[in-house]
Amino acid sequence: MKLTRRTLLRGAGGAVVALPWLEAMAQAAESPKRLVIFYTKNGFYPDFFWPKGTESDFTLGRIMGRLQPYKDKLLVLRGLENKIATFMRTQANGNGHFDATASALTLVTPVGGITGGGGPSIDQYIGEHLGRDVRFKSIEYALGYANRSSNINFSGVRQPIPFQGDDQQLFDRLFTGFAASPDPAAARVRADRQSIIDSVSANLGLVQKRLGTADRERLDAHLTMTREFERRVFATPAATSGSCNVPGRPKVNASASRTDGFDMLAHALACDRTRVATIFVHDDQAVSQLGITGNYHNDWVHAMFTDPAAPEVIFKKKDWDVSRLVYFLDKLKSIPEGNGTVLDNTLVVWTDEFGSAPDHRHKDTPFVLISGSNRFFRPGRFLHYPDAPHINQVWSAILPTLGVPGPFGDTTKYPSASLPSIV
Amino acid sequence: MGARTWFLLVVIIPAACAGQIGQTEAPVVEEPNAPPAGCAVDVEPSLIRQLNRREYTNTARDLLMLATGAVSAAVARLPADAIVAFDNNAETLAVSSLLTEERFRAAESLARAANLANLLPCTTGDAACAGDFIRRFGRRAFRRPPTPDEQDVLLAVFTRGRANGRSFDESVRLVIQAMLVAPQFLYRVETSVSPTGGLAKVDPWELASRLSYFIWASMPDEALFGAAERGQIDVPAEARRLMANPKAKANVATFHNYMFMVQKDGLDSVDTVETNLLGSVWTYTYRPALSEEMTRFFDYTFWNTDGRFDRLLLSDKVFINDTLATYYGGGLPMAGTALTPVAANTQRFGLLTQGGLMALLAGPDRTSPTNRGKFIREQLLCQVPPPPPPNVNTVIPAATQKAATVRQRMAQHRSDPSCAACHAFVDPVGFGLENYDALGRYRTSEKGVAVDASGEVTGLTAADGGALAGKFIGPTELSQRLAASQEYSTCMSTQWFRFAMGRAEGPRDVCALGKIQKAVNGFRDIPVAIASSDAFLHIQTQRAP
Repeated sequence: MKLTRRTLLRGAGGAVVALPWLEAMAQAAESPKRLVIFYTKNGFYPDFFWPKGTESDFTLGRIMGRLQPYKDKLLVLRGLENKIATFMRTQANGNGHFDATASALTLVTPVGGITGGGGPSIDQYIGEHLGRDVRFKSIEYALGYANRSSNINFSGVRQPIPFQGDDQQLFDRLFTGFAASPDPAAARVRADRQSIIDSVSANLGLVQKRLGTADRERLDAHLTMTREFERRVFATPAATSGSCNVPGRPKVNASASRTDGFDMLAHALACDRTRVATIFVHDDQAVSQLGITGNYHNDWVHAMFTDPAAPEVIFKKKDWDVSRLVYFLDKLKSIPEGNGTVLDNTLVVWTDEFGSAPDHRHKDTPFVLISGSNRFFRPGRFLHYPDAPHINQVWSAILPTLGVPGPFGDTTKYPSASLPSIV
Repeated sequence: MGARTWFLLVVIIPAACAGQIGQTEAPVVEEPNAPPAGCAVDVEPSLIRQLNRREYTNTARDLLMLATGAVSAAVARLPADAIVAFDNNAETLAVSSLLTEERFRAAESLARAANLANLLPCTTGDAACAGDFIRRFGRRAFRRPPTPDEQDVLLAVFTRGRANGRSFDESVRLVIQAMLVAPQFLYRVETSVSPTGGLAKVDPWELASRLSYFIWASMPDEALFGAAERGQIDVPAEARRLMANPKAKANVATFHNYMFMVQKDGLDSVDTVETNLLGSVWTYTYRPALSEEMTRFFDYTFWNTDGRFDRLLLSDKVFINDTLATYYGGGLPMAGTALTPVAANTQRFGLLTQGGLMALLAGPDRTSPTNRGKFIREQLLCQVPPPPPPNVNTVIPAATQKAATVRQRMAQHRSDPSCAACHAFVDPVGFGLENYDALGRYRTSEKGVAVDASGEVTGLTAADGGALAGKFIGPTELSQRLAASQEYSTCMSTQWFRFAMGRAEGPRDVCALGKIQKAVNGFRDIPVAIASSDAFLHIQTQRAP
């Protein structure tokens, strides 16, 4: 049911309605829209991945097997191309990895290297719109040692946003850390922190006077980050009623199953700590626990077409990645919100660095959209584009459904027309 | 000729690189002329520099007089810096949400860890003592005497702490915490406005920090602060003094690690057909040994020789242990488990014979003369190859019976006229290293064909010091020519300049950099020459509103 201002004021039948009902209705209507980007590395064995069949009558590939319960809630897009990465591959020292990661979410031409995002990434742009009033405009979470190998989130040209992958650190950030608590000593701690933050602002004001424009802009960004931090420090502690339920602090930095991180992110969404999150699954994650010997990328990904054992090994790793995605979806689905669940109000976008693994190609870059509702796209389908549309064309279709104006990224050198069949 | 062209090696992109078919000559590199006499004092505009993780850690250690271990624990959660060329690129060191928060957290931990007895100038435990502390300690934390306004801000933190029921010590710790999150601490604040705008001298306090962060990657010591206070910094003498301190060693090693890709790309990122064949012995035995070999070798050439530029390329000694002697072969002596300096030989004699470097520059399943040539052009000669035109297929063709070796396959690739000119710039330089396989082991044949290590340095006009231009054969001759060339020695100063300034050089640095390049005879001269240069001593300012 679509709840407009008009229906809200009049009630469903146009009659004056009692206030509690109105409030409940308003609450349901206000369930915020959220975006989670699930990014995996190093591609897959194509035959094990892609569904077979038609738009509405299809079977999932092996790698997506665990997504069977969500088959009617997802949209698989085949045939997309990261045209920026394809172009960069033709350049001197083109790198299939960095060029894909640096362009996947910035959607502009990279400026070189791991940190070479050529502008802000789309998650940041969306976070500006969706997350203006929540604690974190975005969260960048990684499984595995990702900062070294790949940045996909950028705040500007060559300004990568670091990942965090330590679950205790994430918990402290999201749920306790600097937030006030009922502890009587907390009021004093709070006063101390307010005093420190006030001193930062005061000092920034004093320093700015000595600086020219470019330097002042840098410190303006610092002030903005400090203000956002202040809001986080003094935000009301998370309610433990309704859909928001703070999980326990993880006992380890990174458990083998990594479920702590997904639990926290799901609750962070439910508690409206953030509305935009990136989850990056690095290719070193879980490899040894899966009994995969050697170096996953070197020994298996590169050998996919030459070593007959490689496709199964890569299946094993991808299957684990998907099992984490399914765990996260289950978690989102288990948290009630309004008349449905948090998953209904969340758009999960799974994409990968490559379309096919060993040759590091960016054709057939996969996009799988998942949500509990049809607020964002028409689910239960598999679309195969024969004419290799650019990945940004998916975002052009998605942005309006998030209530965010588009298009985003480089719209002059690369196509950005919205793909019509998604929504 | 404009000021820009006499210093910058301007690569004239030939028409072929712009997609015009049929023109295959190599790009021409214009030669630097001597700087004009009486060239003007100038410097490129700069951007405010934020302390990177390394500088923050060092500064916290020196400021609070803490052991390295105590600081490491407090800063463990700070996110890693983004690297562009070096780890101190002003543009890339951007603030982020995570960084802001973790710095706040680190400041709390560091303030807790501080030993106040070492830091307090008085024992009276009153507001006057706090004020005294703020003036004295603040001078070290802000790296200049805090202004009355700044003192007020910090004293307010103390007063509010006391009003909040905190003890004197606790309130002082709050002041320390406030200093550690203050922009005056986290940034290298340099006054970039002036009444008239334009070129200005950096003030002595700012200069003191420029010196200490350049050479130590940390804050000034008391002697340097004292000189700043007197307004009399003897820059060459101070630079020499700082270079003699162990803190300089760590910083020079960092420079080398980024300059020669050890840290930038990381040897652990190397994955090639050859490393896969070696498997775990590569990962756990050879790779760490190759990495340590590079570190030791760079240290040695910088600190333990006369420091002449050619020592890096043509060393009298190389560092070997049993692992590396086995790995390299070629008659190297077994030297025990620890890396030991041994006499160089015809296969192992310098930077370009480092197996680790060759591995870093390899292609996925072969040597990459392009990467090697590009490294030499960019890192050692400061020449930037022109990019290939769009829509060029850069994949080297697969081996065929006719074209088995990398060299033969690349010749095929280069027969495409649109690729030819650009590849002609880098590949023939890299061909000179074909005697080293993709992991830097010496070879005389590839796939049964004798290695052809003849190469050519193209694109340099004959007017230039002819040391570099023209045909050569093999790694030794290539290294000799590089070592003898002006391009190489001036580039070493340029790379250090980038590291010193946290940015690439620009047109307005031409004079200063030209003078630095003329003034130095070897690596250890560079820091002093840079510190004494007009670029280092000046700043571009905007007119104060």
